[in-house]
Amino acid sequence: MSAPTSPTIGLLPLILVAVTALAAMLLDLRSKPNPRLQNSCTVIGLLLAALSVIPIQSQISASGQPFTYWSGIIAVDGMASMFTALACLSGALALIFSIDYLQTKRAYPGEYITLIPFVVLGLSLACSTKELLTFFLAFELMSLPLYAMAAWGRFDLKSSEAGFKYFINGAVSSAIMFYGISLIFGTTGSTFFDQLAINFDLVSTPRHAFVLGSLMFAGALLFKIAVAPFHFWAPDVYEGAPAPAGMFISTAPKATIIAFIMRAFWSSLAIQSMEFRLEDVWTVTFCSLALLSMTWGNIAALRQSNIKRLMAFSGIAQIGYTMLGVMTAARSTGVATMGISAAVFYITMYSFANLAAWSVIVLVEYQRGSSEISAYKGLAKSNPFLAFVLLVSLLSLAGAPPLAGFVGKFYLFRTVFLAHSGWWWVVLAALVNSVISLYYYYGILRPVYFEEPADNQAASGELQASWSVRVGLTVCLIMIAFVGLCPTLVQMGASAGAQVLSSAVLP
Amino acid sequence: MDLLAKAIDTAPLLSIITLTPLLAALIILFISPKRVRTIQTIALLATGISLAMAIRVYASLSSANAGAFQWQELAEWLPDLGISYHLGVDGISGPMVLLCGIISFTAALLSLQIDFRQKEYFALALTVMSGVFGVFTSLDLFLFILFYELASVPMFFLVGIWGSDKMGQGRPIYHQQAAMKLLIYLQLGGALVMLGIIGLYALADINSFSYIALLKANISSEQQYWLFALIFLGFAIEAGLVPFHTWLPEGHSSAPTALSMMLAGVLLKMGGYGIIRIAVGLCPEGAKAWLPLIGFMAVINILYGALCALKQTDIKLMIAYSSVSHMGVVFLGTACLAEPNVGTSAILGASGAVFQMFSHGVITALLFALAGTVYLITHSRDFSGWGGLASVMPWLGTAYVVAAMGSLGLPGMSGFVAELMVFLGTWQRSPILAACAILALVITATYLLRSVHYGFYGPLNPKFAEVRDAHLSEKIPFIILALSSLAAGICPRLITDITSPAIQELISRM
Repeated sequence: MSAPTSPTIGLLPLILVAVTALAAMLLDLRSKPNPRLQNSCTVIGLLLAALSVIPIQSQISASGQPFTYWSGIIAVDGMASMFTALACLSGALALIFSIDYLQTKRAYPGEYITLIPFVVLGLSLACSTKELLTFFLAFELMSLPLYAMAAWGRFDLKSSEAGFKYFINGAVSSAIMFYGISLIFGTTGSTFFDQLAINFDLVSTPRHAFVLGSLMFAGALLFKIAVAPFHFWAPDVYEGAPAPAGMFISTAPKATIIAFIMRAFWSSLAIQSMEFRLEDVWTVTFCSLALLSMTWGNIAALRQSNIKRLMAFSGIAQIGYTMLGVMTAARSTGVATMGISAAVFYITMYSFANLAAWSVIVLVEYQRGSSEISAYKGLAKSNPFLAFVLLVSLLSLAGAPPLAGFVGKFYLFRTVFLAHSGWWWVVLAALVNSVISLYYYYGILRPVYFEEPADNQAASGELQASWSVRVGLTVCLIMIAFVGLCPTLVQMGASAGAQVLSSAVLP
Repeated sequence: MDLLAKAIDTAPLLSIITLTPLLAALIILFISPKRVRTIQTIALLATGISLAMAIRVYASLSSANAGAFQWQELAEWLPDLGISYHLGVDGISGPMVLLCGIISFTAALLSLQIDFRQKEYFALALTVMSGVFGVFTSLDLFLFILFYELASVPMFFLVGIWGSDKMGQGRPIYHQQAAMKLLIYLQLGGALVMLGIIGLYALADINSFSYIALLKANISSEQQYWLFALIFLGFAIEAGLVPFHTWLPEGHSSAPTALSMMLAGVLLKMGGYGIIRIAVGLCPEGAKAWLPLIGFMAVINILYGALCALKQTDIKLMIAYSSVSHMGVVFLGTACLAEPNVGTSAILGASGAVFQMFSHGVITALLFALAGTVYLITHSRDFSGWGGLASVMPWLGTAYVVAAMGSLGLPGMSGFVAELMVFLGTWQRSPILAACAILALVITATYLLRSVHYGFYGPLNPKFAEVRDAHLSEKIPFIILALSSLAAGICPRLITDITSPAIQELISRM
């Protein structure tokens, strides 16, 4: 065909993830399921999908054109491929870190292993579409397996409660999102991102309906990434769900949705006309959400004694910091590219640090049977490697140098300052917040390093972690420890990556 | 020999000084925790190298060249962000680097007393040492923050794991809580400094974190006013300005001996140094507006710290409060920069402040070293219960008297010169402040002599009739520290010769 249709290679990651998901399901149907085999096949599939992004990325940067299919229902650009890779990687890491947990009697490994690639598929699709209905489909494809995952420990009351709670709340938020989409469609007559702004000028429809629709749309997105005040489900779900599920729920959706928010709100939904500058509305909204989220998250985390609950509040606060980057990515600030790369850098580093910290939570829950902070007594003695992993990942989340979290925060704060020097008070609030957060991050490390293991814990000896867990953790540690200081990688994230991303976000 | 000297002169000495301890810490991570001897040797070797190189760098500074940055090293690091790896020393940081070398080496020697989890201990302690060296040598503000945090984060673990509780009279202090408090305060200070530095960077608008580039930046007086306030407050928390000092007595007294030495000897000085170098150096207009108030607060620091020390019977807590008091002298000297043109006030006061940082560093480190060693032997920190220890441990007793004399400012020791310079400078500006500050000398003499009297003279507590005296590995650090203080006291020009030109350079820009 001579028409300039994009080659199928652009769809390769999506196809690979879909095949992996189906294969994982089929492998579970064998008369004698073998979780290890199923797990390794899924991990390999996801890693292959992540790798398949590389040729796509290089072709996009060479031609400057995204791969477009079905008139933009699927548009694979730099940003899409990057976040597809990230989703695949976090899925693979979550599977690797859960290997030991999945061996236990009370786990149902097949279900967990099957659900993850479906979520990844939803995430990859969500960041590769420029059409609202397709996005909604992808969003649901991602959400439903997550609800099932929360309820995965099916004979555990807390887990069932978590799943139920997550499902009810999530269903309501999806409904609100759908209503928002219908309002947007009603006022502009299109669901394609590129058409929204054009139609908006043509049609003289009530503008406030459009704003309301966009806000509803935003609300559902923010619900999924647990930004205060849409976060109430998070602590209960993270605590109730089995640790591997909590690990995945708290990590994977966040990066993709942050990227999608930037794409949607700074391009197609940031409509400007004579009397109407939506961009300012979004900036104020994101700024107040950022401040609220980090303050609420940090203060609520101070009193937690269960580490999973604590990590939920920590995640709420971390998303608050990320929203600072989202806020500065508006075109009007003049530092949009910087804002995008700061937010992306931060959320990526958050994903790795969070996965690493949760992997220890998974192992401790599996072997010491508890996720109370008191169960971590003397971990440094019984298992120095895991204690070190916890140390590095929590310090990175707390923003201690020279780890990635520190560089990420520095980068965020600097961008906010550059965007508007009158925003110094926002930076001050964020800095005070990160000081508050030290109390609970280091509070976890207190029993780990300062105290001796309790008798029954010492008797159980060293926690067992398979070699594959160790390899995965080492990768995370390297990411956390060296990315922050390695100029080439930072530059890749900062400049080259930002170019790609900003061209995807900003029309 | 010649070849070696030549090799040393062409080597990037500041990088070697700064990064050797960190390298040693990394090596230690890969050594089995059972090989304690090897770990200790590596730590001593690394700090020894740093000390030797620090002496070499210090010797190369003279009144002719100390006004500008020497031994500069510049490498691109993150050019997009305007961040470079830039090191250098001048007459202000020179004495600090030397101090750091002395304290690190002596602290490493006294760390041989640590008898459990040595591997983790040395890895963390060496990281702290790299951090403090880096703070004094870096000329890039991002690098500065990085090292600043590197020096403060491991303190949490060092105090929390190897610290000791204060029991005895009064409110008990638990070392785990003290560790958390210390961490939060230090990080709050660091956060304020970071905000100030990002503000400087954004307002200067030259996309550079380089100190030298920012010196020429054009920042309005009003902006300087607020930036100075932020940066000063951040560093003041670190340097123990009343009322932000409460972490200091708790943290210092709970830390293990060698870390008390590091905290009081060097970490406090990061605050004092930061105020002179960054707050005053980069926001001179702001400094002029704020420093008169700071002079007033400094006197409160001196008096309040001394009065608190008077009340203590816990030896480490007493020394910690004496640090609060003595850091007040540093603030008072810095405050003399408020009026750069009044006679010799500014130059005397500010040089005195740098001198006091050096002097207080070695003397307090010595006091903490002695207190820690006596605690190790007697398992008691309450000096009112020691009684006549000098008869069973003549070495420690004598050394303590020397240290106490240095601390209360006996002529011939460095403390005397430092206080004299600061008070002379202050007198020219405001005789009332100087008079109030001098009053504190009497209190200082009282509490120090009281501790000497109760702790080391008088009737011996029979519990301690059979205790040992100092080992050789403990005597060496005592001697090094005491000699450093004596040398600076007998020949103050060793320091003032290189400090004055740098201070003059600072004043000329105000």
